[in-house]
Amino acid sequence: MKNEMTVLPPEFSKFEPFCNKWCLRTERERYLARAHAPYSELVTLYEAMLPHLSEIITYLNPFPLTAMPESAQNLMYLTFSLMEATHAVELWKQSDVPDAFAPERIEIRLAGGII
Amino acid sequence: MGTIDTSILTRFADRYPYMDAEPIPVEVNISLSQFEKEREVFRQAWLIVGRIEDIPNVGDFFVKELPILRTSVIVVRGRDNVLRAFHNTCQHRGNKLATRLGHVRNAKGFSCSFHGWTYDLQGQLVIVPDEDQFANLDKSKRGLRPVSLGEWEGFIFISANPRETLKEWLGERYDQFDGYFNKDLRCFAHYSANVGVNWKIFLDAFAEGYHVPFIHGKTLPDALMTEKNPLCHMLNIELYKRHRVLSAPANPAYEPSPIEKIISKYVDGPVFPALKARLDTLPPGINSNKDSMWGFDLNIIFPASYFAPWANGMLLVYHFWPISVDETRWEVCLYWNEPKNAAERLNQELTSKMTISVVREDLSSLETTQETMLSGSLESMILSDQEIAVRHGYTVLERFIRESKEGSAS
Repeated sequence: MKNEMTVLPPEFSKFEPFCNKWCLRTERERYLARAHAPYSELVTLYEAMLPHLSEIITYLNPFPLTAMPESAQNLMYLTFSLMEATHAVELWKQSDVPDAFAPERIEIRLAGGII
Repeated sequence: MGTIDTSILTRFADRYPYMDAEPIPVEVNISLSQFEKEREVFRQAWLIVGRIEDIPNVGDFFVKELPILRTSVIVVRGRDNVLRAFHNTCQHRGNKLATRLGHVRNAKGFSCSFHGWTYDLQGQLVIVPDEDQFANLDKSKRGLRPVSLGEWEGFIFISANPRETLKEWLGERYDQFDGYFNKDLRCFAHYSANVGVNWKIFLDAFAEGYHVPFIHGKTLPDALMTEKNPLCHMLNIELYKRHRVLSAPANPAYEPSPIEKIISKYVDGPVFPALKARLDTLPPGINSNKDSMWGFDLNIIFPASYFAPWANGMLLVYHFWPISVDETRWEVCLYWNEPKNAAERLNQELTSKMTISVVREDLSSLETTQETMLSGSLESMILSDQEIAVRHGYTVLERFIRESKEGSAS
């Protein structure tokens, strides 16, 4: 489910162009979006966000995980997508793990209730 | 950064003279009659179905579909805070009560969609619509059919037809963990898939380190292996009457990736791999050699689950549920502490991403292997000393089937 109305905290507005594609609420959506994204898009996302990851964590850390303001929550979703892109860029140099079991066949669900 | 433990050079087979070295015939993984014998093993076994943290509150429950037992089971926390398991079957005309699979939910009771019969959290039948129309209904005799349930170290076990207590079933492993898992654990990721492979071939794919440099060479190039241990020999393998444990290495010279370096500044301890365990806080059953290069343990609980405590405190629980001789439902639940802040939550997300990618590598070869076994192009599997835990699985299974047969004959 894409969030067309995504708004990030003002300090991170430079990442808004990524939100339409990468601000996704569920792990399964993020996982499949990453697996099927053009590799160059993952590199762009990774290279744009990684240098600011410390700032992002410092900004998000004070919020309770279950009651984040909407803009912080959106930043959290976007940063989850950074976690998705990480192994593609750092390890595989391609969008998905090579020669692996089809990603669509993995059922992904949350058991804990927190994002 | 520390020297290799000489136990890596040990031949494990020398410690277990009862284990033969014969190849394993592939027939055992494709035979329908073998599968029916295994069905009885699963009926007598104590099976891990979850952890107490999955259902912490009164009324929390989950449903397990267990085709190998030909049943569906509800596991629920009652008003008295006691955990119980029931067949998921209305005792009126057999309709299934709870139909959404797997997910933990909360209920005040269980109401049948067919005629509205309603059971409380303890399984008692409490509401029968139009009850006067039944000539001879005794509600106290139409409660949900219980399934035996046991708890150990926070794991929930059920058994359809137990021949032993849970303590007897766990045997040597029963008192080796000292309550180690009684901490603030929470399932932070859950993955599952139906895979066209026999459950034993599936489990075997995780029961040795021999495959790691090959199948996982792209995703775990240097997390486990070192120059001195390039083929991922286990630090230790212990074989018990039924169960077994492998202690896997981690590479102390591992160079964290750019993102791991950043996140590690905000969480307690290194991000990946999982070195830096407090060895003095580990119970006897975990990292039995107390090796400083330890990454994780893989405790295979016969017949078809394992739990893996990692040096960083994470706990993975795997299940391989047989559906048919050539289909298995696999699931993994990842447990860790409740994240205190965004940094810990992001670290968990990065870890679950690594886990599912590594597992998808493990799953990549299974279905073609099952097809190969049916082709007649392979008669038997030959196993190395590093694959002794694979052999142990077949040895224990065969002995269990033989002894059950002798037991039922006598």
